Amino acid sequence: MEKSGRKNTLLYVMIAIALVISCISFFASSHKQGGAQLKKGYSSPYYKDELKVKYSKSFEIEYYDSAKIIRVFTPDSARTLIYQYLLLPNGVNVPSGYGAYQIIRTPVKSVISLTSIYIGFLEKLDLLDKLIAVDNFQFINSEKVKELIKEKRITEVGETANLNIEKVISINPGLLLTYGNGNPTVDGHQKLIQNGVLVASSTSHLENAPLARAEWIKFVAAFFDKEKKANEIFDSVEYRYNKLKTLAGTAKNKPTVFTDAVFIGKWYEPGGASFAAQLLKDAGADYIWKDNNSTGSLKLNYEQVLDKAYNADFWINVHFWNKISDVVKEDPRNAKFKAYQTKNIYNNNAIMNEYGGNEYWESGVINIDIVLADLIKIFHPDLLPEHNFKYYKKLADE
Amino acid sequence: MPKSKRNKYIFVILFLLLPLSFVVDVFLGSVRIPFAGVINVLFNPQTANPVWITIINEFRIPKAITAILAGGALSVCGLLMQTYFRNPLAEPYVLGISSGASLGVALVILTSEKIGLNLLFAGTYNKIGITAAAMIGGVITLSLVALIARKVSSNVTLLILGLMIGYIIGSVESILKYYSTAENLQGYVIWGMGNFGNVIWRDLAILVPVVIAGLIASFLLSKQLNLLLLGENYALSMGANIKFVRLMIIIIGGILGGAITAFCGPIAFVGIAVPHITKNLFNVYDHKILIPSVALVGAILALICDIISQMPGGEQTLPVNAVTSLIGAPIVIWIILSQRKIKHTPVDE
Repeated sequence: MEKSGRKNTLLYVMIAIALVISCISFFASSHKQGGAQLKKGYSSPYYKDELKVKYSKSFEIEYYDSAKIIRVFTPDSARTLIYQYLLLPNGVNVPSGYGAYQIIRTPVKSVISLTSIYIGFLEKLDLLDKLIAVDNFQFINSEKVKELIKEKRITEVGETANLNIEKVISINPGLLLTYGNGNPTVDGHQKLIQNGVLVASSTSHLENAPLARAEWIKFVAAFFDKEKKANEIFDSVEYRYNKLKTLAGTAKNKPTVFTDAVFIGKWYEPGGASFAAQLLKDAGADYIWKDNNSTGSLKLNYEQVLDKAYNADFWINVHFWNKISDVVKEDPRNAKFKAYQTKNIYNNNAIMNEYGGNEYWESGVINIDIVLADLIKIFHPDLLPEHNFKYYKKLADE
Repeated sequence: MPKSKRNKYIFVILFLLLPLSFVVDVFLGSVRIPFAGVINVLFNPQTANPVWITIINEFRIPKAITAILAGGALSVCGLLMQTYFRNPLAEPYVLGISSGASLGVALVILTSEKIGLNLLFAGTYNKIGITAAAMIGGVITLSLVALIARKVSSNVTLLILGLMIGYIIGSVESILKYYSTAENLQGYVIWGMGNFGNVIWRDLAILVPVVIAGLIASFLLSKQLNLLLLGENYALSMGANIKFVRLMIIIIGGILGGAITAFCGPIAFVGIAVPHITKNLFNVYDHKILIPSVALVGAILALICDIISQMPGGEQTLPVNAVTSLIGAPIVIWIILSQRKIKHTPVDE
């Protein structure tokens, strides 16, 4: 009797354990799979058009029946996931299992932009009416944005390093667009995110392919459900860029070119695999450091640049210089270069505001086809006789 | 060997070491130019590679001359400060002369158009204006430190005072930077962290006379400096015009320190290390001997620091300030540890 009693107890205990385990696994699995499940491959009632990322390896957009997911990766070959956003149309329940995502309701109603790249994107997408704050008025070139500033419809919140967090929180934007270098702890918007501000970070400035950098317009458009418009804009930029690149490829001679100028005793030249180097290649120029395989910049001494670029045909992207006389005013030794003697010096500061904010870094990012046309006009003027410079200018001979 | 004879030998060796380090400095650089190439540039420029001519004539020679001037000027400035304050740790960088000079430059470059200081100093980014501003900034800071120094008697407290004044000036500078335009800021930044290599022939036309005048003036003050070293009362009893001497030291020190800062940016530790090396080398305290020797040792040390900064070889060079600190800071530590007076500064001396 005693023996069977013990057996029964054991049985009960085992049953109880089995019950508990199955309960746990049931709740755990229901937590994982329950709620509104995201489905892929159906025609979504929310999204007629979809954005496909073609050039950039640093972000992707996925479409589901009632959600979009944007993922941002480090721009290096490791391609580590750094940010992920779950974009939901208004009224759709939050699916469970997306705790690690920032959840953003689309279309976003208002936006703060902390870098000029977004101003160009937003203007192209006709979204300036959503813009409620920028980092610093002095950086703004867009006439439309300046107008909005005058009408006091846009306010200032300070640059990333000096961000007025209290002001951002009190403005309570639908979204804050900023840039990151790929390290969430260093990029430091945790405080904003903790306080309920939705922050979207791009690494577009780290893209090395010119079209990949322009493609970040799709990243911005996704938050505003502007898929159709973004596709139209990007496709035409892509079409014109590739056409121009083919045209430049027909040039027989490739003039040699170097860039920048000495800065605090060092001369920073873009690496051979960088954004600037690829643009120069596409424009049919022979960049002096093209064989270098760095995507960053090369830190050189003046004499090293002199050694390599002494006889270069062209000299471009030169600080704040406007006139030939500025070249030697900053350093008389600059007169030694052949490009100075032939006065073949061009700068990308044709459109600047009174504070030195350069349009090249604003609309030039999306208008990369026009930037390329400017460069081709510099190196091969006969290929584009009709084109007028927009971002570039020849230094005035005075 | 008698001391004077021994010192003569040392002086001769140093005198030979100067052109030797000058030549080595000109030969070395981030672009490799073979020995024959340099000789060709110097003695047969018609047939030499034009790129090498430019590199040697426009970069390496002015840079080496600047190193000599900076080393000499900062070291003598340091010696003057050490005698003036009778403090072995005094030097232009620590006493805030460099920061004062920087502020002078910042006022000229960053507030151009706004306050019109730029106009006052004749023209945009004018090197003469910038140099004048740096020297005035240096003299004013030094006077301020000297004025406050009368209230303190401890060697170390003086340094803390210099540091504090440096901090105040630094923050005024960052406020100025905050309110300046991008273009002016870039102009200032380009100036701000300079090195010997930023100086061009045109700048040397200003720097050479200023430094030489400062060195000669210091030499002429040798006798009074010697008296000052023995104590204020003794100097007075010997008929020295203490007020005049003090004023002259401040003006000369501010000008030497300020002018170098204007062209090379702040360079640390040369001013403190060289007088001590020299005093140990020659074992003398007579400024008639000390001033030329300190200038010589300073010039050689600056050249050696510049040579070391080329050492990584190939593409990269070290900032010269890192090299001077690496050599100078241990010397300062050694001074603090070896001199009882500093190590055990009483609270109320």
